[in-house]
Order: sequence, then structure tokens, then C-alpha cells
Amino acid sequence: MEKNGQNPDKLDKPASGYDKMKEMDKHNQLLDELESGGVLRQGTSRRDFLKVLGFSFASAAVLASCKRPVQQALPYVIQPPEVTPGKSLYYATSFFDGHEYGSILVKTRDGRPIKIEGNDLSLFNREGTTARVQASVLSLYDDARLKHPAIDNNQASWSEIDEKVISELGKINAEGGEIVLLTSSIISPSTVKLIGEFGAGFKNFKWVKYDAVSYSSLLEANSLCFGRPVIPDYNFQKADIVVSINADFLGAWLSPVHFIPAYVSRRKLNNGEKNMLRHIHFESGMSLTGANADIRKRLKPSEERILLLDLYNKIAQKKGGEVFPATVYKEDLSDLADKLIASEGRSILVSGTNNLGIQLIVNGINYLLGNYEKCIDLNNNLNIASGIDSQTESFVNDLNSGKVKALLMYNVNPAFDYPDSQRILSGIKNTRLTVNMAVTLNETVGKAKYECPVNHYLESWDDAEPVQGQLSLSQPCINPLFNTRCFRIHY
Amino acid sequence: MCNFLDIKRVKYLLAALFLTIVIIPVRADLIQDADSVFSVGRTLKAEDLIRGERLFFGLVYLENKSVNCAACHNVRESDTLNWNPNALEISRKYQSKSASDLNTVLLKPAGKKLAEVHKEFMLSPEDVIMIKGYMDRLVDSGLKQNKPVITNLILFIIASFLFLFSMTDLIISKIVKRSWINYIILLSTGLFITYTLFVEGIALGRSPGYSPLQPVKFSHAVHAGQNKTDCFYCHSSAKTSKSAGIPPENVCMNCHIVVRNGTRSGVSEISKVISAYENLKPIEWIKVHNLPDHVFFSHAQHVSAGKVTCQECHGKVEEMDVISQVNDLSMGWCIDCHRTKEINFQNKFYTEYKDLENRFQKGEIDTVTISMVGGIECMKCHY
Repeated sequence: MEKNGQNPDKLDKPASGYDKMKEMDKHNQLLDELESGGVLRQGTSRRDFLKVLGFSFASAAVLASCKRPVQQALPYVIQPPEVTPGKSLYYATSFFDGHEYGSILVKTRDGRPIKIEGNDLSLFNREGTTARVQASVLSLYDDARLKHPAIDNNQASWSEIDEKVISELGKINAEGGEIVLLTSSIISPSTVKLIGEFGAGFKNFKWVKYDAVSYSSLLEANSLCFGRPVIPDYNFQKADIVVSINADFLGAWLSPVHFIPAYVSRRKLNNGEKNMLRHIHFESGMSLTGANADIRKRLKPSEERILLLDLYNKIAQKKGGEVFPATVYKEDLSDLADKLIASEGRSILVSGTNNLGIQLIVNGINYLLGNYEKCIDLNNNLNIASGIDSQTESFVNDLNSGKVKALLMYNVNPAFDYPDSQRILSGIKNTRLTVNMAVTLNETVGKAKYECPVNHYLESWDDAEPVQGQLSLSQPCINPLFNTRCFRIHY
Repeated sequence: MCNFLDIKRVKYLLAALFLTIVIIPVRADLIQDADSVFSVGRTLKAEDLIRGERLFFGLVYLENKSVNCAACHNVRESDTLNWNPNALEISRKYQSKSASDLNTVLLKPAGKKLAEVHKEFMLSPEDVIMIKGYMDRLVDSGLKQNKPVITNLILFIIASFLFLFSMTDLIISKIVKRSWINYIILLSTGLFITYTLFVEGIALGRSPGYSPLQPVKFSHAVHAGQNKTDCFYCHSSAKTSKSAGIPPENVCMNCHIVVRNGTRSGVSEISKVISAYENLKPIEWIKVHNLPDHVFFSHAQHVSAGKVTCQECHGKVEEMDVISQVNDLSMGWCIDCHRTKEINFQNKFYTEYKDLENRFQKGEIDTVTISMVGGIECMKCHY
């Protein structure tokens, strides 16, 4: 302990005991003086004092001179009669982003959409929505949205772009060059018709449908088996047993929001029902669908085909169909086969793997079990996806060989989600005219010469046919926020 | 050499020439007649601007009468209502107009109210130019601001200093010999500081008596009091929505498409509404009754279900020229009413509370207040 800068240990040690005592007395005297209240010559007390002083000063200043900010209230100049400030208006519209469909109710306040819920009057999805649909209200206000048209990444006007693109297209058409329209799946009958009319005006026009998440094997399998490249509608409410192999139909496969009400109606025994829909699930990863299953088994992706072929054989044996030579699955599937046969005609087998061979086997099993009459509906098919992988592949080849002269892209992002995106980018260089129509900034934006942003679905009039025979309309819930145009006007 | 043109005469001649060359262009306007005096654009000298300011403030006698613009048109920011537009407003309005327009409005005013007040101004065109010069300057400088009153703050600071000095003196330095002096100082300043902190702290965010001047001098006393316009004619969403709403301009235009002259304000205020409507610009009203963000309040619940009259919370609005917030809108004030106000069982909204109604009819309980039907549940307002 230091006092007055003196270290007691360093005090000169007196020679005699008496001197030592005197030193100790002096020592004690100093201590007494300090304890009785002499000013401590330590810097910290002054600092503390200043700190407290400053704080109280500042808080007093803040308390006394802080003025409450002025709040303003701006009314409408001419208020639309249906708008009441403070109350929300609900608009019924449809959501389709090339991947999922939903009939929705959009809650708006002061002309701005703030929340989306499913439309419970809808036959397709009742009150259900998926995460994408919920998030889409935010993508309307996304700052990364394209706000104005551009040529070579410089802001341009619509009239300029129209002039140039139309003249360029005319030139290419005159030479007979190939004009390709690359879009995601389109389920709007009016748009399909419009594209047809658009294409009819050109000598060499091709419409390539490209899905980032492809159900192409389903389409091709059905085309090979039944002659119709469609995705069937799965009626879970009519089934007694569902066997799903890597198909997350309650989570993200096809249209979960459409399957869930049907599935739930057969799982919840509310009305005195006695039997439930039985759900058996094989999967390689973890999914919500697997978690809901009655029996869930792990499966290596390599074993999927073996499993299916073995199951097919077992069923075929009992039902008298053709048995194929195949390795036997590690587990005994005869029990499962028996269950399926016991509820034949009222069962569904699905696989979520995008492999033609596997889908063909799935079709075969379903056919043997006679599921196609009731449970799997090929006539009222789902219009969710229509992209065929082989077509996309040949398109990319054409692109790179220089056959494609004009490329118009709408709602696709091949620079990101095509497996070999470098080929797309290099192929684009071979074209003479590229036009990209997109909503938000993504990897493909900036690669085309003409950037023509389109309206968000919440700003557009549209229609949709999610299931063959069920039509739906889409209305805008807000005026277009930016300098964008409806996709159809581009025609 | 030349007897006539000696040095002196030459000097005089040169001086005369110089003066004629320099001065005539400068004072050329004086030579012309009054009407065309405004068409000559000239920059004002410093003394002209000063004279303009003095004219504006009525410090110049023109034939025994002074014209005092500042008497009616505020030059200083004010918190009381003055029916005349303030100096900044008129300066802004006439900034883009010429001095001859100003001359017209001062000497030959068109409107009824203006003609009443702009009477017999003995202003020459020169004076008008100088006043215009001052007004143009006013647009840049704005109204004079009042200094804020900070007596409370200074008292608080002095009290804190005293407290601290006294504390340090008591504990450390012991300059004051008698410790009871320190104790008294500590006690009194301590009480003052605590009182101020509590009172000011609780008052933070509350603004009773807040009555800001609005961009357009809309008087509820005229509209709701004299003309007896129903509250819900303008604030129609009070019955159906959580916000009572400020009327959109098309509601104002329902009457003011015809009514263009105010008794006290003339055309100045109503013309603001008309021009805002024609230019499709909303009027930027200042919201007087503000609740903090963590509170939910629904007008529809109180007006339609509770049948509370507007005056119970907002005071006698029909007597106010400028709306002021009469209640502090604190939670305590809300809860007070919820605890004492009785509910009327004739009101359809309360038909659910049959048990309470029966007990009330039988006489088992003598009042049924809002708090008994859930009016003081936290989640009703803070969710």
C-alpha cells in the first residue's frame, strides 16, 4: 500500500529498535491523519466527481430541452369511397411464380398490401399458403427490384426499347433466324394464347419452358405411358394408403398447399370415421412429410430404384403382371405389397425423384393397382409445371451452336439455376438480340442487352388454370410501383 | 491659349459631364411617371431596404399617417392565433409577383375583407418597391424565432450543482464549518431534484395543452360551433375505424367550392384549401392528439360501442379556434374513466354480459363499470 508516494517497505530500516519504534509512530501518525479526513491525493475521486457532474448536467439538459417531434397527419386529396383510414381492404387474387400456385386474399392498408392469406373459398387450397406465398408480399417492396428499363445496363425509355427490339426482331425474322422465348411454366390460358399469337407472326419461333425445379420425368413418364405429358392431380381424400418415396408432398413437392387439406381430411377422424389414411414413407433426407408418416424408413438414393422394382415385382406376382429380373430389396416388401393390394384402387404411390426410369416404375405400380381411375386423376391434371429437361438441353445446345438468333427470357434465371450456367452465358453471346423480362435483380439480369422489367404479380391483372377445368383470376392490389410493364403488353 | 476654357471652367465642365453621365441613369425612374415606375427593374440600395423595413413596421410617417404592416402580419413566430396571414406567408406569396401587384393589393384591394382593412394607405410607388424589397428579404430570413424559456432547466442545474457541492463538502472538503447548513441544502435541493425528475419524467411524451398552429387556420368554433356541422360529417371513420381520420379535401370542397370568403380571414385561408385541392396536394395538418406507439386505441370501439361523445375526451371542440389537447391522454386518465363509467345495458354491444346484467337488475351489484367487463385488461390495449 502506497501512502504519500512512500513505500513502507522501502523506508530506511533503522538500526536500533527505538528508532524503529519512532518510525512506526510516524507511520501511524500519517495513517491517522489520512483516516480523519484529509484530502486523498488520488486522481480517481476527482474523475468520479466530474463523471457524475457531467451525467446529471446532460440528463437535466435532455429532460428540459427535448422537444417532442411534431407529428403530421396527411389526409387524401380525394378519398376513394371504399377506403377507410385505419381499416384494411381485402382483395382476392392468385399467386403463381412459375413454381407454386395459391388462391389468396391480400390484406391491404391505405392501398398497400401487407399480408397474404389463403382464400378459404378456393377449392384448390382453402386457407392454406406456403412460405413462398407469405414471403411474396415482401418481394413487392424489395429494393432489389428492377425499377426502370435499361439497354446495356443504362437506363432507357420504353419507347426506345420498343423501337429497337421490334426492328431487330423484324430483321431476324426476315432472315429466318430462330427466335426463342424462354419462360418458366405458364398456367395462364390467356398468356398461352397470346404467346401462340406472338409466335405465329414469326417464321422460326420456339417457346421453351424451363423450370428451375423440374418435374420433367413425371411429364415424360405420363406421356410415354398414357400419351399425355401432364402431371396428374393426386386425390388424397379418396385414398386409404399412401406410399411416398422421396416425395415431400406436404412440404415442397408439386403443390403441398393443395394436397394438405385432402390429406388432413383423411387423417383427422372428426366425423365418426373409423379408418385413417395410412401413410408409409421412404426417404433419404428429413422432411415434414416423413415426420407425418405412420411408418418412415430411411433410404439411400441408390436404393430407390431397387426398392421400386422389387415392390413392382411383388405386386405383379400377386396380380399376374409381368415380373422383371431385379435384385431384391434389403427389406421384405411383401407386407407392403399386400397392404397395397388390399386397398387397390384406393391407394397412391408417388416418388419425388426426377428420373424417368423411376417414374415409369411408379406409373406401373399405380397402374397395376388400378389407382388411375379415382386417386390419380390424369384428366383434371395439375398445371404446375411443364418444362421438359430434354427440350431445355437441346435449346442450350442450339444456343451454343449459334442457331438461336433472338432470345427473349421471362421469369427465368438460368445463369443461376441451370446446371451448366456457363454454357448459357457463353451461348447468349452468340445471339443477336437478347431481352430479359424479370421482376427482381438476379444473376441473369445484366446479361441480356435489353432489360425490360415486368410488374410484380400483386401489380398485375392475370388469370390462371391451376387444375384443368378450374380457372382463377388475378387482380392488382397496388399500382405499379416502378417503371415496369405488364408482361403481356410486351407483345 | 483659350480664354474661355481655362482650367477652372474645364474642371466644372468635366464635373458636370461626369454627373450627368452617372446620375441620370440612376435616377432615371424619377423622371418617368408613376405608373411605369414599377417596370424599371433596379436593385435596391441598402438605405432603401432599411426604409422598407421601417415602412413595414410603421416607423415612417407619410402625411401624418403611418402604415404598419407588422401590426397585423406577424413578423415574429407566435403561438396564438392571428387571423391575418403572417409576414412570411405574404412575402412568399408575392415573391414571384411584381411590385405593381403588391401596389394593387395595398392601394386597390379587391376582396371584401382586404378592402376593409387595407384602407387609405399613403404609399408612393417608391415606398411599395422598398416594402417589396424588405419582404423579399424576409423570405430568406424567415420569421423571427422566440428564444426558448429555460428557467426550469437553469434552476435544475443550479440545484444539482448545489447538491453536489454540498455533498462533497459534507464528505470531503468540509469548507462550511456547520454541517447542518449542508444538510439543509442537501435536503432542499435533493427534494427539488427528485420532484423535477419525477414530474418531468412522467410528463415525458405527454402533451396536455398542446395547441399547435395549423398550416390552414381552420376553426372548429366556426364550423362545428356556429355552423353546427356534425362531427361525423368530416370525421366519418370515427364510427367504423380505429382512427377518426382527418377529412379528405373533397369533403372540404363540398362547401368551399362555393364558400370562398371567410369573415375573419378573408380569402387567404380558404384559397390555400382550394389551391391544394386543385394541385392535388394534401394539406399537412399537425396531429394534436398523439398516443405512444405501444398503445392501441380504437375510435370505433369508443364511439360506436361505448357511445362516448367527442367532447368527453377532446374537450369543447366546438368552442376552439385552434384545437388544443385538454386531457393528458395518460394511461391513468383512461383507466379512471374505465373504472367509473357505467355501462348502459340498452346498448346492443353489452347483450353478451347477461350475468352481470341480471345481478345489476336484482340489485346485488350497484354499478357495472367498464372495468368489470374487461376494460382494464392489459392485452386489450397493449398487445
